[in-house]
Amino acid sequence: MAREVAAPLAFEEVAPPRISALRRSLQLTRRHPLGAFGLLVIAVLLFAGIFAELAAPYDPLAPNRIAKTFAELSAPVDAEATEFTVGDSSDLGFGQTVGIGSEQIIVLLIAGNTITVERGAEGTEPVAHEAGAALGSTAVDAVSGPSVKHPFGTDRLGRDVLSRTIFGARISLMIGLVSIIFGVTVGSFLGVVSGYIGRFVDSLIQRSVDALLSFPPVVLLLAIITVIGDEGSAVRIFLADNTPIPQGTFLGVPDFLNIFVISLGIGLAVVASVARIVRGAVLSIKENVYIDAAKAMGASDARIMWRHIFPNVAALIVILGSITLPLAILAEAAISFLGVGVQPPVPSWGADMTGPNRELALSGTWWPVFFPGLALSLVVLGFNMVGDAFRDISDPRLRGALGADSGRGGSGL
Amino acid sequence: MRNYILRRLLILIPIMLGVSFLTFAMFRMIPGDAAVLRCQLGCTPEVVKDLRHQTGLDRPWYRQYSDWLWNIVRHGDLGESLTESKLPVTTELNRRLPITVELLVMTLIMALLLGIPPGVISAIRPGTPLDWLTRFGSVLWLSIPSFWLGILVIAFGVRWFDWTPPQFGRGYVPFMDDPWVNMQQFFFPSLVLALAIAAGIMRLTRSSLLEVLRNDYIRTAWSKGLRERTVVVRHALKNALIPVLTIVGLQVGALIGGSVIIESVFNLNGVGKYVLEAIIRRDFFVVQSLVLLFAATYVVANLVVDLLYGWLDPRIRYG
Repeated sequence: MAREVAAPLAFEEVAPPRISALRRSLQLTRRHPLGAFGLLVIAVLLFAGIFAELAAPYDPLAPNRIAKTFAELSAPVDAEATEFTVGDSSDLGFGQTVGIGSEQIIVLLIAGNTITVERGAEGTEPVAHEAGAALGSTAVDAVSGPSVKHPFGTDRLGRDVLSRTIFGARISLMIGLVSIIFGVTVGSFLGVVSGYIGRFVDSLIQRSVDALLSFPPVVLLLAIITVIGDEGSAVRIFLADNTPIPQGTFLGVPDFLNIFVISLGIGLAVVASVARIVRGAVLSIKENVYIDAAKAMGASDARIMWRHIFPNVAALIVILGSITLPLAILAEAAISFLGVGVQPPVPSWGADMTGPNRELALSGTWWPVFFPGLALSLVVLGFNMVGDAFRDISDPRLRGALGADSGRGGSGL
Repeated sequence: MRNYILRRLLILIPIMLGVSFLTFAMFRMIPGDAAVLRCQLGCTPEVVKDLRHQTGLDRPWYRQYSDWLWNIVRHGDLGESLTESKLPVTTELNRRLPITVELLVMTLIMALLLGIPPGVISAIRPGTPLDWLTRFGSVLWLSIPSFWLGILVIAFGVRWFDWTPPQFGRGYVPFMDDPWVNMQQFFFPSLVLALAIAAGIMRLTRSSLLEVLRNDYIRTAWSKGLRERTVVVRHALKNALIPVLTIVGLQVGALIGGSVIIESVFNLNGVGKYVLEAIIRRDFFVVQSLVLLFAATYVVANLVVDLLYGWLDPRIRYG
């Protein structure tokens, strides 16, 4: 009897079905379309902020000029001639300085189609010109509405609003990131220390937090920025003298020190609420048995806080940071709008919505105010939508800690 | 009950001392004070010294603070502005407080009207397009900055309807003098300010009502054969509103902050604009006094909220 030998099993493909990144992002888009939209907005913000020089069609600070032709030469002239014959002199005026080729000339007399001019004005060299050469000038293209050349129009100084909006993304991003990194780091440090050590330290930190939180947020922010943003404030002088933070343009951000100080101010306003929330989380974590175990093994307080408590609040801290980032961007815009934050001509969304632009908007020139505000709204909307989608996907335990639907919108901005 | 209220009001004292001292300390830290800002160009050290003496800024810092505090305790005198006008804070408040109070009250009413009904509708019809629309609207309201929306309202009001809020031409008109003009002055500022708060209320009403509707007593109410309206309004809503009320209380600070911005956008000469101007001019006695007022408002508003809990949920006792 022949022994039956088990035939080798057909080797089945058991590898998990491969899902491509594209497929996965399509799935995300279908399940959380708003979240995907938010991610897209954030990606655009990052792109605009990092590559502003490449993305912006014009210089955000320089007025844009348009070339205008007033008349054309109908006969050639040499370098000495002072009488020009032009096709039509009706657009020219007495005393007007116009350009022709590389040269500037001043119109002295107009007699029919013959004009008398002064050659070589404004330090240019008189040269010969061909027939058909244009007499023209470049005028500042101020307060022109949205057009093909300037999709968002130009402001009262002839600056391209689109370019200013793109560069504004960089300022917003910069301020948002610096203030969140500062605020969340300091806030969670205080929160962990306050929650873990307890007793006197806890009371001291928590009463200070109480005092800070009983200010209306906007008022607190205004006061902090006015105080530390002052020319002679100790913070600014310290930063200028003792740190390598440059005062001029750095990473494409003009007036870097000033903007850095504003970020610190916003970060300071974030500290209180972060410290409060992190402390709450630490209070429950420190009741765990593994903390007692670590203590029994002789671990120092610093080690317990760093190795056992901090990793457990890290996820919460990251989420707090991502929730606070759009609020920080909004805060920057608000205080710049109130005239206390970023000062013109630095292209900031908030600063562009105030001052002369605001006056103009009240008389119908809406574009210099509309587009920076639209960008700001979209960015905040994007972050909020990602936040919502993230909450749907992520651990439901976090809902309580973050006050799911509460707390938000509490900025009053 | 009375003890509870008293105890809560006693907390006010350390908080008010804390915020006013913090403000004072912050503004003392910067070298350029109100005297320097006041004489501006071509000001010699003598002039500054003189101005400092006049305004009392040359006293030691603890004297400045304690004198200011003592005047409040003894005479209810909030001090006066350090600027040339020397306007007493109390006089200014008499003029400005009605404006801000009206703005905030109208904002609160609008926020509740715009927040609770949509929240209820989206909670009792979850998953429908109506629910989706409400939720999308709430994210939208949360994200649009009030100052931008405010400017757009004014700009397009002029452009399309040839309408400007009346305060730009003729200043504040009290409700008693001309209710129609008064309402025109306050309708849009309160609406714009209310949107973000309404969004928060809407979301919270929705999630809290959804939670409450899962309770056993709601199932009982349904099985008794009650109409949907009775179940939702009589049985569920009252309980669902408790967290909403908490948020409204906590939002008072945000509301006051928002009024700083909205008053500046809509040219309303209220307390918010006052505090902004005072901060910019380093007029710190004014800032201190106003911050004191804000902190007190915040604490009292939250006390009122806590007392309202008792009405919403009779099980709550105050110990």
